[in-house]
Amino acid sequence: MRRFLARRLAHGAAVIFIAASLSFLLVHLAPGDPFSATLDSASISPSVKAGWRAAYGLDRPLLEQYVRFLGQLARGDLGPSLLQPGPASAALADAVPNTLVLMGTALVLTFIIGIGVGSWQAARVGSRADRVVGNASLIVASLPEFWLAAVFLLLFVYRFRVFPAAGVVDLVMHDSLSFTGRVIDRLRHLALPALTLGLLGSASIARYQRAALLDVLPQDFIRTARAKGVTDRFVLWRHALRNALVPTIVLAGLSLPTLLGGAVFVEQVFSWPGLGRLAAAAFHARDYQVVIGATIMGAVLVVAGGILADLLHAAVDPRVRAQ
Amino acid sequence: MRESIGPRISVLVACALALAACDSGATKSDDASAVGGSIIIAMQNEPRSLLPPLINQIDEKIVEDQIFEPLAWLGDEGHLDRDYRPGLADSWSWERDSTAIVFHLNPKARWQDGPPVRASDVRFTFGLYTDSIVGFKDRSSLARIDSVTARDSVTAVFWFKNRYPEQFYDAATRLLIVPEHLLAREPRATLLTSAFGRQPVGSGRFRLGKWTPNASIELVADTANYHGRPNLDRVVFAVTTDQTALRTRLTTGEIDLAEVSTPAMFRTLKDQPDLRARMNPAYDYSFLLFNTRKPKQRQQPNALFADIGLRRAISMGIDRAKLVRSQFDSLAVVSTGPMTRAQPLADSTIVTIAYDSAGAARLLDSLGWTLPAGKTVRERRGQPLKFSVLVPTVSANRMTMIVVIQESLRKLGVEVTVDAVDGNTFVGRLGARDFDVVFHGMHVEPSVSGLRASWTVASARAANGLNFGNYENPRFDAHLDSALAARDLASARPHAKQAFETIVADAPAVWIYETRTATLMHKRIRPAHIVSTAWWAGLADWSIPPAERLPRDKVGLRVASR
Amino acid sequence: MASSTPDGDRAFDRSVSASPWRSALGTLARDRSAVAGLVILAALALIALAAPYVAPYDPRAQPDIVALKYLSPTLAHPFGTDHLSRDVLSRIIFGSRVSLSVAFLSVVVAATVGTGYGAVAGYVGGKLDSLMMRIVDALLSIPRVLLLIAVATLWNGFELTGLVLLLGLTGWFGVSRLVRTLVLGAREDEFVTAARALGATHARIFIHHILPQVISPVLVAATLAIGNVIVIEAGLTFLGMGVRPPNASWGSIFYDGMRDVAGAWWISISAGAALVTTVLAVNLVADGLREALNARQLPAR
Repeated sequence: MRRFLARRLAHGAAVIFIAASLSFLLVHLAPGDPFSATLDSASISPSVKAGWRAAYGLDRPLLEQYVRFLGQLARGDLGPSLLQPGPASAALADAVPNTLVLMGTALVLTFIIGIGVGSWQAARVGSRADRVVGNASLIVASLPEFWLAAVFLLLFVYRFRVFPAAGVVDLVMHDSLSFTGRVIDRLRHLALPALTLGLLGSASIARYQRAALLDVLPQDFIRTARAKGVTDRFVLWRHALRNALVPTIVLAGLSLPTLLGGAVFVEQVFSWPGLGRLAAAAFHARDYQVVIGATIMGAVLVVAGGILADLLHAAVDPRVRAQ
Repeated sequence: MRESIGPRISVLVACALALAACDSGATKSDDASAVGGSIIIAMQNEPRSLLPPLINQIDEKIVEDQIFEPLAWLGDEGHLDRDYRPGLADSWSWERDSTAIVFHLNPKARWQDGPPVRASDVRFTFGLYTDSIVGFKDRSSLARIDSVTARDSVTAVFWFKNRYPEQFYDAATRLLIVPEHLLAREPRATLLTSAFGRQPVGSGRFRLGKWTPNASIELVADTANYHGRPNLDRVVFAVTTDQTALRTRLTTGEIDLAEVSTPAMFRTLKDQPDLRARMNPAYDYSFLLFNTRKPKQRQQPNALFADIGLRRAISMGIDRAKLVRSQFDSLAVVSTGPMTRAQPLADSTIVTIAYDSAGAARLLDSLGWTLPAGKTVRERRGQPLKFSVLVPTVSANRMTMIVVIQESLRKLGVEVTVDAVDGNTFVGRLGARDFDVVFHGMHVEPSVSGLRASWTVASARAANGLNFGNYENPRFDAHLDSALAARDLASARPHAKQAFETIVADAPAVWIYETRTATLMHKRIRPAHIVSTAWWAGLADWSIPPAERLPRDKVGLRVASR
Repeated sequence: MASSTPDGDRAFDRSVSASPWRSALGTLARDRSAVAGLVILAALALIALAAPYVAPYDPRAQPDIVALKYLSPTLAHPFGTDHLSRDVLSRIIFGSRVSLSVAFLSVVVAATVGTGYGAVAGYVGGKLDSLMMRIVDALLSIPRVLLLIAVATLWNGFELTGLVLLLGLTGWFGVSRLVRTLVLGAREDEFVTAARALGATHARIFIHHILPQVISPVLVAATLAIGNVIVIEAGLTFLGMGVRPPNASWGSIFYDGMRDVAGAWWISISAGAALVTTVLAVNLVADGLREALNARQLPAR
């Protein structure tokens, strides 16, 4: 087990290294630099901009900048951000937890809704309800994130003032609320963004879960369990679910990059101050360090998610553990 | 850094305790008192840094004008020659045949971290703003100030190279005074990433409370301020970059105030029962600028637009009044030249090029641009009359208008393609003069001195001048110089009129529209006074009547900051 | 069945390759939802091709921007007009050309590059395969949207070709992984071992034995990808980075509609509906294809 973990970690580290180098290359190969047109006026003289470039080390040869970049990265330093005063790592440290909260909640919702609906369908396979729900989940799986987010915004914020429109917490009241008040405030702000992402992901999980359950049902050990005299429903939920859960967990782990991508649009519509929104702003401003940092963080999240999924897989499936 | 911190801190603590004892607003705001209230203002672009010389866009100015102060503020009417309100300076006088202005600083003036504001801070600030490596955008506007000296600790003297009408305006309002004791040691080349930009300390009536990146900037009342504490407890700037979110948050009351510039937003919001709209005078105009030289090469004339006839024909072919009315309702008027009507020297009686599509067609024909049978685009010697217009995607108004302009020129037989690029690329190409036509927007000040930087021969020839279209007419320069050198507005006016008439007749651009913005604010807000050039300048005097307060107005000031 | 004579060999090949395709087609034809999807897609393709004849108005015409803007849906304008008095239905019809062709072409690019890359990795094997796949893993772990935003913003000013290339070159990673696994498995096949023993060249082995097994899963993946890319392109345009005027895709129409979505909801709703319908149809066809082609593979083993 430990060897497996060590191998995965080493693999993950290699992946992150390549991702970091690729994003460094990408950002530096692009035309222009942060100072070619940052300040909204062409009246800054070229010599002044040259002075800035020198002060930030941007005029050194690319290889030298790359080496320095790697050294800083090893120390966990991403360099200064040009979009906000302060180090780039501070900007990311503010944004990443918000995205983690959003993605984590969305993932949990995806699981609960997806597995619940898929199992519910499998129990009624072939019936009218099964077909209707199946078609509905097909439609939901085809919806674009930004569209659903916009619809939710218009319905539940604009038309029916149920949820707040933006942000993580109330801008003025949050700190003066009681503990429960603060929890509720956070949940109210989290609800719509997480629901948007969770609902979209759950549709495909539901379809997969239903198919996986139907595959597993005729198998031998289910028959054995039935022969032992347990009721139908217990058989379904205990044994079949356990076996079908495994590929679903793996699928959820694999869906992390897509989830992060969807989070970018949802964060935009709901003004959720997370990694996606930070990345979009940083790209526009050519804030090199934050761009590289955001890409690396994205890769880290995905790799970590993959390792976590593998671990879960091993924990749930004894066959994997035996390897 | 600072010697003898101890005594200063104990003084501060004593003052704070004294204030806490007598000010009932220390924890919870008393409903019956006039002070109190929390306003949430929409901020459509998050500031990069709150260090005043690094100002990049208007949202930074709005926040900085609360935290910092100039020596004097422009009056509510925006007059350049009178009605200034005291800021850091409580009085001033002229000396030496008007080549020097002496500012007497308010002796009670203090920085928000304790030390008193000194004349050396003013001298330091001037040095910072004019240091080229710092990169203050409007450095050229300070060029006529020779130096700033500190006569004593509360007297700062501005020395000028010559006399001109706007001396006081330049000296008193352009600089937001910053603390020398916190900035002297910062390396100037990397000020962009200095910590001060994130935790600014000024002398204004609001302090920075908390800056949550990508979410909000909270300013809290500086209760110990020497001008007196502001009426409001706090002003929160909520980062709202998305238009839909902005509309939603204004409608649901999550945001109290927003400056709105697009007609769609204005139309939807102006009838909201909880919002009041105030129109701000227009200080922005948008125009199609022709490049009279070849793109990127200044030595050669432009194949199309070196010809004044073509430029005038295109001006005649666009029905500006109809386009502006249909797209902007009351948010914009047709622009008459490189100015806006709010400027004191503006003159809307000058002769402009009127819309005349038949006349435009005749002019084009006479220039040799004829419409071959069966074709839709005019040609001259086999070359079609087509060009591209550079437009920045960040300007929603211009992106809309260019499509409409494209359509009207199509009817004239002119083919226009839209070259839409992002903000950075736009500025880059603008500076390199890499375009045939650009749909540019200009922000003006009450003074017309900005014309010098954008339309004179010198700025056309300078390597990084702002005369992107390479317009050169020495007669225009002469009229402008006379206007700027005049002793007062009345004697400047006839010269300004001649200058405007010259440039409009030359048609280096088609001046399309002047936009005003509308400030939409919640009905419970009582804006005590609004400065016409900057609606936010008087924020510290705004109040909310106790009877109309919302829950968030009653939160009061927290004793400990997070 | 004679399998040693050359003629019989070819006959055997034919009997293996011909009927599974036909039976797959048969399975597909019996799948009602897949057929529905195919019909929808065919209709969309036809509409896109015949756009100038189908659209009631010129999508760029602005008849009267004062009086005719923001008209709600009527018989004359089934989807209303936008802020420049342009007919929304005509814009959507012409927009389908951009959306569909960008999606289709970029998937072709992605599938080609991915298949090539994965096939080389899988066939050669060993250290090269390991290195190639590690690079793909790294690329896969960068969320595609972030990568797209990065490239779209850093290199500005895309023509449609640039956009197609961008979408294609960021989408081939998954396909390459899939193809590599398939090729790796197919390499050990009995037919391949036999063919190699008979002295067939690498090219012949690849084309005749390996490629057919790769095509069907790639086809399914590619079909799914089309739906994916349509949404991604719309999303990019929604963020302001995809298709630029004067070209208009469904994403641009959606974005335009968002300017006043409370007052003129029909613009974004119709663009969104077009998107959803297309993606739905694509998903249905992909599902059907997967079922049909899976059924084919069983007898061949």
